[in-house]
Amino acid sequence: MINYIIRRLFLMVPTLLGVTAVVFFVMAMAPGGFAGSLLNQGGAQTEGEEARRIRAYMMRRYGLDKPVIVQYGRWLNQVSPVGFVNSSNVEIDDEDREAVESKVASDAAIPQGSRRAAVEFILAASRYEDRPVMEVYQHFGMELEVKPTDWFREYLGNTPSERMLTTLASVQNGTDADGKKLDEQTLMRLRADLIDEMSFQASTLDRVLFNRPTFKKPDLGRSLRGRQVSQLLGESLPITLLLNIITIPVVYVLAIIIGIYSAKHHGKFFDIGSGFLLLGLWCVPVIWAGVLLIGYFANKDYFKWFPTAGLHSLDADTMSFLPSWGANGFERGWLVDMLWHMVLPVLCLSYGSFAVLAKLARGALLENLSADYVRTARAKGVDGRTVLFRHAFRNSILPLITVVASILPMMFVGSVVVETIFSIQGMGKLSVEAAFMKDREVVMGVTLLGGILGLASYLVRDILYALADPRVSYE
Amino acid sequence: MTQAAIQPEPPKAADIVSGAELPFRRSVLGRIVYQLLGRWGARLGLLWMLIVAFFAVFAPFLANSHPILFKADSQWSSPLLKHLTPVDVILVVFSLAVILLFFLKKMSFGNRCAIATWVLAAIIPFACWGEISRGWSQWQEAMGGVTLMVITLMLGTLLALPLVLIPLVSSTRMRAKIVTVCLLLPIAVLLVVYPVQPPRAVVMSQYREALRAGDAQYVLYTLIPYSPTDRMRDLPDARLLAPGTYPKQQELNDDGKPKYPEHWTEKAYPDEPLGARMHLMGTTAYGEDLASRMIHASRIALSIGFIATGIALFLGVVIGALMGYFSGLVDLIGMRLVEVFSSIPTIYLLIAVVAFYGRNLYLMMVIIGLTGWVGYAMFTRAEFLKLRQMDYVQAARACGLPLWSVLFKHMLPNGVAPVLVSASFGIAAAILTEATLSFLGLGLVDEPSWGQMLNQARGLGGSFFWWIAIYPGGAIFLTVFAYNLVGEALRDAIDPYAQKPGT
Repeated sequence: MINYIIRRLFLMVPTLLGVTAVVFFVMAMAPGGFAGSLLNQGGAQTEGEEARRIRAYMMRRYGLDKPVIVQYGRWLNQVSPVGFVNSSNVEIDDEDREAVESKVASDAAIPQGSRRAAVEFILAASRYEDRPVMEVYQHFGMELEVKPTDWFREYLGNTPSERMLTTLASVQNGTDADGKKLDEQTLMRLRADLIDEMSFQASTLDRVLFNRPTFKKPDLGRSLRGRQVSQLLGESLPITLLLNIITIPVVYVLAIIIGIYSAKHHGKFFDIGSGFLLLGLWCVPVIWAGVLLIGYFANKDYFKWFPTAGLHSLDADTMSFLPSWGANGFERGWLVDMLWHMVLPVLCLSYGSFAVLAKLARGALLENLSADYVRTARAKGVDGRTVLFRHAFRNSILPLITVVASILPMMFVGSVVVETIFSIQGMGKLSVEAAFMKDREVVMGVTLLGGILGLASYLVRDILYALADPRVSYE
Repeated sequence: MTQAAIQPEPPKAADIVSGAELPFRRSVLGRIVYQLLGRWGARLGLLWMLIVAFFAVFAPFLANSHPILFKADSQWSSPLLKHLTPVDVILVVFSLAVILLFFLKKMSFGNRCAIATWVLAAIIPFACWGEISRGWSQWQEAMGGVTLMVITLMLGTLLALPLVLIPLVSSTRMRAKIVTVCLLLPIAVLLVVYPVQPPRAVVMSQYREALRAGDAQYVLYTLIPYSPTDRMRDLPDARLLAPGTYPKQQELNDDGKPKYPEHWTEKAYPDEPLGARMHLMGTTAYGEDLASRMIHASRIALSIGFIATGIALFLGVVIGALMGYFSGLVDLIGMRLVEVFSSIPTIYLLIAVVAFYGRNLYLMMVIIGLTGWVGYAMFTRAEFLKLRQMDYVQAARACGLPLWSVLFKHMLPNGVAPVLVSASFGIAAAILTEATLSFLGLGLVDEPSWGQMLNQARGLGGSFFWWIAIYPGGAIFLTVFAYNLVGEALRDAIDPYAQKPGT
């Protein structure tokens, strides 16, 4: 069994590669594609200096100027726990940082106002060039003191602006554009400009350090808004999981009760009626159910029983955890408030799986009731209740246990819709919003997580098969 | 397909009543359909499918702002026919041909399929000729590169279909050709004489305005006199009217005078039949007639369902057949492919594709098809793994028949049954997926779709318009329910060993 699990875990790797590759290339080949929505914000028709800067920044941050296959390799390297370090992720010792700070503070050639920027630039350059910090500082100080060379120009970005190029030339020659000699004050101001710009441009620099293969923390990248994708997923995944985990026991208990009842009264009115109703329930689209539930049960015109959106009331932060009897009468408290918000979404998420499970429970129970061992038990004179619950029911519960693994991915799909309808900030809403924003890193993060969850649930299903049924063996 | 289902059945009561003396040999498919019709769940499902199909095909003749007949300045015209699009014409001609073929006696199912496909393949260039002649470059510019590629792909598949179906034609091939020509000739002549070339600029309110101004002498409308995209800007306020109401009743200004000219109320039309102007299912937030949108949306739902499932079926059957027949390395590679495609969260991929590539019906069909073939491939593979050891397959191979013949002529008909069941569920799933995408705001912008309408049921400030929720949602539900009912019945029908529960 252990062997089997290990083999399956290794087989997951190529499948995950395939999944992410499909999604990545689909997005990469889109016309206009990635990050388009952010760059054209505000409906600007012509690209100004600012937009150009942002575009150049984006191109570098996500490596968009490289071929698609390289971009994918870069993403894989970033995500995988074994790989090469990205230069922007290199940690710099506090000692080195402090040393540079003190040196810069006492350096007369560096303008007063740009000392911070100068430190940042030195750190970024040392990361990017993979050179010791002090060495970079000496290089920097020398260049600034004597005469800046093309080393500075490299740090002005791929397409440096006209103004920056003149500034660099002025600092290099000590004269302005007309050849007039600059005084010390102007020179200092120009230097400050130059250092600020270089500091900004260097902060976006990133490359894979191929000489440093290590075990590292998987990095899912940053969203277009600048937040870490792992942070976003960490916030939204628990909400989706909470919704689903509350749903599953409710569904199971109800489905098993209905299944037993209709199998026991097989062929009677309840059985046929419930069979038809369950098929109908299974076909009710989640979008319809959600709209109707909100429309009728969270509407001041009909029944204002439930809240319309979110998982908490606005004043949830000020509530006590448990319901209490306060000065203003009954206060429902944080826990009850959340449960109250979750009634409609859970209802929406659960009815589909409930219908499937109830049909499954009924079918499994009927199959077992017609098996030989049940007939034998009956022939021995065991009473009907015992036969049903101790013999047949125990055996027919097995397929239901194994189904739990396949239900989880199904519910994730359902939660996309439910979370959008009920404005719950879970995985589903995150993925829809990311797709709308054309936020590649977030979409890839969600895909990766979804793929892992799906594959893991298949694995769990297969393990449960073997555990639940001793006849199944993978050896 | 198991042996028991291939055995001829004993005569049924229905056969004797309908005058069939003895059970004649039916094709495999015919037998399944015959068994299907005996179940009332399937009958209900098929009935609803027929109704939706009827709405989809004849939508422009049921709900249209353009009158059937219009007389102004003592000149008769038919704006409805003038505004028909190539798609309308193709659909109507094709379904009329299918209905005609259905009533033709003594022709095998394969022949009918072949003729229907020929009709379809032949009518498309005729109906689209007007569009094509508008100018290749202009078309390319308007449609965009991706659409062009997708359309070419779909046309190619469509044109390849007769090649698949021709082997089904057996002895009466000549007769089939004659019937086809007879069907096609008058239509083709008609289309050449009156080319399908709808005007680019469509003014839907011109007939109503002509009526009000008294310019029109005669007008004959369709059942619902509103087009799905007719926003009725010429009427005072047609937005969000409840079902069964008219465009806004007469309202008075502060000075006691009518707010709108009198001809804007329904009293101005004493000669109009009452139902003609009423909004049977109310209107949407943009003033569109909901009933009209419902009818026209059935077309998108059906086309998505059938084409997406068709693509998935084609891919799945071919890949599954190859995997099952060759097994070994092909199977190994195929299984990895299956694993990849079954682990992609389809809804995320769909959302991403639609968001990145723009709203495009054809693209949506292709993507739903491309992600949905896994199930069919698995079913076909399992069947073919069993079948490849059968004597008749060995015999076919020993005879030196080409691979495609062994695979698709000998093996496929015996292994297609479970795939058909899952295709029925697949259509339901595809319709549901399209509705969900449209609901999330990723569907088409201007074309009506049930999911998109459902999304409009919730207005600003928590308002809720029950008619916009009940009707489109109910239509999605009933359609999905119908396909699932038929799927369940199909599963029982093709499985002769289906355990009667409790026995």
